[in-house]
Amino acid sequence: MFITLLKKDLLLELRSKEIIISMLTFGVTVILTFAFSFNVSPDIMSTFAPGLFWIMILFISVLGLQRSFAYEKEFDAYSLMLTSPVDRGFIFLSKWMSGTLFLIITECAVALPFVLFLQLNIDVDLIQLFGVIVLGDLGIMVGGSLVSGLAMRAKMSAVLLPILMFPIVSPVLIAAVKSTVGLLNHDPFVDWQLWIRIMGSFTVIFALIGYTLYDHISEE
Amino acid sequence: MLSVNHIRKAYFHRSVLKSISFEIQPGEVVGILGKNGAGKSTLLRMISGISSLDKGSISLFDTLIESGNIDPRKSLFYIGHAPGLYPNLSAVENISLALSLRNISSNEDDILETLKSVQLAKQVYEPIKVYSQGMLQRLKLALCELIPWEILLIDEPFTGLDTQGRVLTEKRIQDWVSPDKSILMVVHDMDWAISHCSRILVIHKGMIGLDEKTESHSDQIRNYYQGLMA
Repeated sequence: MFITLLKKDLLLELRSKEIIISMLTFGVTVILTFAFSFNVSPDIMSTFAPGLFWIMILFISVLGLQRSFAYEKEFDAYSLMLTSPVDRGFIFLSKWMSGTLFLIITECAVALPFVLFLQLNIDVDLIQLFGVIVLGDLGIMVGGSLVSGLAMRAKMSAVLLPILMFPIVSPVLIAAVKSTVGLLNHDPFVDWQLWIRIMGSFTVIFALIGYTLYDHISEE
Repeated sequence: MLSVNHIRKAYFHRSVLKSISFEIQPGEVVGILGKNGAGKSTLLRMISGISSLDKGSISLFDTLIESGNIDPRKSLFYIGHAPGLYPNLSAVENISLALSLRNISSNEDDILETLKSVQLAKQVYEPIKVYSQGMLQRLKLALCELIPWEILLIDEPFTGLDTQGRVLTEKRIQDWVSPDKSILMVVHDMDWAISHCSRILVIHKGMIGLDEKTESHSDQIRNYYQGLMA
């Protein structure tokens, strides 16, 4: 059933491409703004880069989540999900996974402009960097998907989502920045493994909370 | 079959349903009438599991309809006032998805045949966001044909239909009546409800104002409802 729901989320995006387009447009705009705002040496820029990157990802994820849950609200399509004999926890898992996938696709597209426009010298193991980014994405999206499920029934859901989401995902955001800094600075893993553990724990805990509670929070 | 016991629902401290209780037996076609805002649609959404209950319980075949219990949803099918389908997907994709969510294998030929039977043979591969209200209602009829249900919940089945569509919907509803299935529908046309339903429930001030069989109490139903609307 999870696969059916995930395929549905991917098919919806394939048809409209609204999530990817809005995330990409925002990401590129932010990169250009950063590039033309900061007039500092590449060395100084590289110290700011992890923070700038994750702030950009946080805002991009909000856009993606809002659009993803808007698909469910249009035509009251969500009622088809809720009235079907489906474990509603799977609805949460599919939203989380599809959201993370869209975020990774967007990151792949904006990574090169980010490095080029900010004149960064990325001299690290790219697989490790990709792993840290994916873990951060999973953490941000798990919290965001849970909050989106809560907020989508509210009248001011577009306002509620960032208000509720930012404080909730702040631990994973800080951990993602710290891990990325550790990796880019070639610090020994032992120095920043705590942040990886925080991201992992956050993701697992919120995944379990979301899966368990989604049945209750998805009802009107 | 379906048992609704003292259910209550409020939105922002405004009580919509105060205490509603009734039972539905197999074979019954029950029409729900009431003024705008009486809570008719809310009642259907609570039975279907979309809305939570503030108080009371709803059970189907002695199994509670509640969060976490997916079994009752296998026997229920809900057709709401809104399309309840994905606007960016085609009619065929929406039906395939609805069937997949119920673990029913979908055959595209069967889907196309059913769509043809509800006069929806054209534009079946186009996103349903381009459909008119009448076409969306026909699509819902096709879903009711393809999805096996024991209790059908329909909210205003004739909204947006032309005469041809209305006749088609009426015929389908009559065809669906069987001794082991029940239909619960929100309607506004009292005369239609009296002639097509076996029982009428009127919701008034958050309670069941009237609950009578149409066969023996049609005049009583008519007088009560006309008095309510006057």
